Amino acid sequence: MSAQQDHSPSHNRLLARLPAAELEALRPHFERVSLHQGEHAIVPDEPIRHVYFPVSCLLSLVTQMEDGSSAESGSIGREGMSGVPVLLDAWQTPMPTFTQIPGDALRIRSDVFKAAYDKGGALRNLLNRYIHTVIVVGSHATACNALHKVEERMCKWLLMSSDGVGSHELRLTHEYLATMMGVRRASVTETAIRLKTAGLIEYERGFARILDRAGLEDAACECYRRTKAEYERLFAS
Amino acid sequence: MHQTTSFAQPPITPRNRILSALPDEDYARLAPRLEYVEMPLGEILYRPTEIIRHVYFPFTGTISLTSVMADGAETEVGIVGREGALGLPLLLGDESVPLKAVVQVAGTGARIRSEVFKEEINRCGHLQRLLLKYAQAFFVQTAQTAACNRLHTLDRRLACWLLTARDRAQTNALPLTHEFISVMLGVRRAGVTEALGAFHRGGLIDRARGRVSIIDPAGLGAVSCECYAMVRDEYNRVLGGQARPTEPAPFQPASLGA
Repeated sequence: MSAQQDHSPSHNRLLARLPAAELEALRPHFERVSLHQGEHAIVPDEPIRHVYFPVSCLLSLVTQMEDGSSAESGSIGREGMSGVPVLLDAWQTPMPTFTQIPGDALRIRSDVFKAAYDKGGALRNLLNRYIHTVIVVGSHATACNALHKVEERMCKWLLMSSDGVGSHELRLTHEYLATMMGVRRASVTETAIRLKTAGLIEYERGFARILDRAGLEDAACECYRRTKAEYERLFAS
Repeated sequence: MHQTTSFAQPPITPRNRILSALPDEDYARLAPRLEYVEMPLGEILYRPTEIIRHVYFPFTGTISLTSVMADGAETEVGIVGREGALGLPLLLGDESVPLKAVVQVAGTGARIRSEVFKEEINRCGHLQRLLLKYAQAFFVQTAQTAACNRLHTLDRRLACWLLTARDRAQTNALPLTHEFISVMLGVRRAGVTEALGAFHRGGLIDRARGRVSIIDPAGLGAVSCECYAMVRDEYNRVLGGQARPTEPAPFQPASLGA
């Protein structure tokens, strides 16, 4: 991870919605960092030192089971932040959060950010609404994982990830995608071929590119639309 | 309809874990504004996106939160029992939630009107702090269940779900139909019937029409995926050690084998 000084908070939609005065007070405490793939924002059962606001990276909440299998329970892009447990007074959590798609994020020390949250006011109200959005979106993901097929889930996943990093190009291997979706790599490969044949995506050498966004939205389960609507409701509030 | 009684003098010590963890002063302020309610099986407490009118604190029984898809398919995303409260959206500044809340195991509880609840939350006192901790445990439960739904087999998920329902409802005899369980797990009913049959043959449960009785929780624990213990421990870690000394029976997610 490398750190630099300058940054604009406006690249993260959640930060951009914070009241100007409160954001200004926090500004000196932010640093911009580059996160590489697999780098942790939250290590399970260890104190959460920083809260991260993705700018161009995508963070992922991954649940790892004892037998080594794992599946993603949620992702965090420029619409959000890692570190909800800190706001909820739990300074650690058994759930890891790590970098799924490398890129930049703004980060701030957990105690500094928590102190600003504890002051109340508009900042706390916005963050509380964000926490509620995360719970609702997580609830949808829980149902989606139980009910929907690999292909529609993969379309949803590609769209959400694309929104999260603000790019039509996503750097990720089939293997990685399989881990996130909790399916075998062969299913990801088969599904990717079908989406490619339909002209919706290109997928080569660990790079997925969305070619036909509207087509992908049609092929995705309703959970993409529902999730997106929740975030829009948050940002419109 | 609800049968409601105001408890100017609380008729019983609240058996809800959040209420019982409040300091006396806070509870005394809240008590006159709590209504005692009966929660009959199948009663819908929240409908998706409807304005929320009450926050519920279950004493007995459980409330299930489900996500309903456009085609009517439905799956449970969380359970609320006496360890918690139904009403996190109001705590977090929202007026509604795109989920359904339905009584899963009939019981009793207390409820409070939304405006009164918000007034109390705005004091930034103990109730708010306790519920934010509860929100954290609920958040972890949801995330764990999301992965569990993807990765684990029906029988392991069913065992996990039965044990969780047992802890929340504080009873071994769960009045649940196969149909209901299949909706909760987002699977076909035939799969539930088959798995319950195997549990029955293994001496883990007893079944009667519309009822599942847990006989061997430890055995069920051995079948369950790790998600049961993981979520239970998280609830205990986050909410642990908060029961008032006056509370007769602090919430213990019934130890296996007991």
